Amino acid sequence: MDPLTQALKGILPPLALAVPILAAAWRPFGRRPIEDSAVTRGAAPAAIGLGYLAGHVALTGWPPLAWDVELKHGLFYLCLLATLLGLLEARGARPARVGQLILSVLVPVYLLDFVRAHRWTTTESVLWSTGLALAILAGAASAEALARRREGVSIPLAWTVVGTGAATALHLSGSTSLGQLMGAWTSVLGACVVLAVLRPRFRLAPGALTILVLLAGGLLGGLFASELRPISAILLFLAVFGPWLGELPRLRDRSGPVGLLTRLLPVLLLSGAAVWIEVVSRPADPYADAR
Amino acid sequence: MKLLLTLLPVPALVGFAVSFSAPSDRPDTTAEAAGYTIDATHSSVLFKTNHGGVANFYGRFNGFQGEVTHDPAAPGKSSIRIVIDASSIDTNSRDRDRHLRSNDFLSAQEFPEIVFESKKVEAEGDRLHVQGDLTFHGVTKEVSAGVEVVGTGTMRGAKVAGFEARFTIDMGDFGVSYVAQNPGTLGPEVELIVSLECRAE
Repeated sequence: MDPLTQALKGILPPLALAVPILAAAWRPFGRRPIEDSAVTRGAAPAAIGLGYLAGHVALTGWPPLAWDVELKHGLFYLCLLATLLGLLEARGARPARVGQLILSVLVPVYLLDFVRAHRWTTTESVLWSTGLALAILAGAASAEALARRREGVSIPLAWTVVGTGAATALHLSGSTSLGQLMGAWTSVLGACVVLAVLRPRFRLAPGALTILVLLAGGLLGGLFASELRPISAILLFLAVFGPWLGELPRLRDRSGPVGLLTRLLPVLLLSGAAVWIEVVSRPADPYADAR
Repeated sequence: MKLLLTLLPVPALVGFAVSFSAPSDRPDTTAEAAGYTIDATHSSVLFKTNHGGVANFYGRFNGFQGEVTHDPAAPGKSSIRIVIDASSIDTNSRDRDRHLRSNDFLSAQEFPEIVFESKKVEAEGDRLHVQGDLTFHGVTKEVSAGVEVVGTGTMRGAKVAGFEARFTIDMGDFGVSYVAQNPGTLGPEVELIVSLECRAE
């Protein structure tokens, strides 16, 4: 199958589900302003979550219904849980902190079961799982805070850059399927960017938790189940915090292209550096000269 | 001339030593049951799959170990267990090996071992027919294969035996979804060619 067909397979099914959800809630071509409601708040988590699930099934098939599934199928179930928590939050149940905590612990514990079984000692398991859970919790809290704080294009665009970087870096590291899965949720964020241009009041929250879970899961997959460079994974994860630059006292009131640039620049630099590292560190073919 | 006469026995002695250490090339059906360890240095685990519907592609696994029990008089008492290191895949290209080790194919970090353990061995003419559990990509399924007893004998004082088996599996049956989701790229069938030289324990 050619690369374009493969890419479309990971992009079209998520968009087919996400675009109608976003359009129905936010009416992008309507003239009347959209009022804040459970429907508008729930559109982002529903579109991102269901879009990703559709892309996952299109790319890898239905995941087996079991606890000890392969890492990439674990992303399906974590996304399902994150989406449910996001929708509950959109309805006013406010489980944001609880949801962040549950998923921050679950992501490393559930996805890295095989590393605990084959590689880590008990002490290493505790240290790694705790450290990773704390890092994911910090990422989730940051992502949610930014998505609440900022409406408009900047946050969905920043996430689209991180997602594109993660998809490219994972593909370059040797795992096409993890790269494609990252592309599935990134394509929905692309639709969110278009929506935010048409409806500048659009906010990603409370869908940011789902994105963070998928990004963290993909990076852990690249790091532990594939051959993504640790430095690339760290740079991509740090890119999640990049938009805070635009929230510094002297910059936070800037709007227009300057405001957008201050939020995007660190994300672009960190994601770009990760992709560049993967490009230059691809293994040289020892037999190339013999051909 | 004197030197030539002195050196003349040397090739003869070398030839004698080589013929003495070389195993017989015919199956020794009168031999007793023996437990062997796989001599990885003189064994090969290869795989063959179709690429793009065009050509057959071959690769190998460089790391494996295991044990074989062979009883020529009572083949039903024979057994084999082989453990292959999934990350030792070698296809003559480091970039491709990295892709094959990834979770598109072997998921070698998640499922580091490919294991075959026989459950039943039967005689089939001069050959053996082995049935057992193959654990590949974290999925265990029953597979069977014909086994050729290539030779038995003695080498450097130890009993040795050679076996060759070919298993055909469908990657999709073992949860390798990448192949099913991208038809026409590889396989989906893979033939595992296991050629073993075993040394008595």
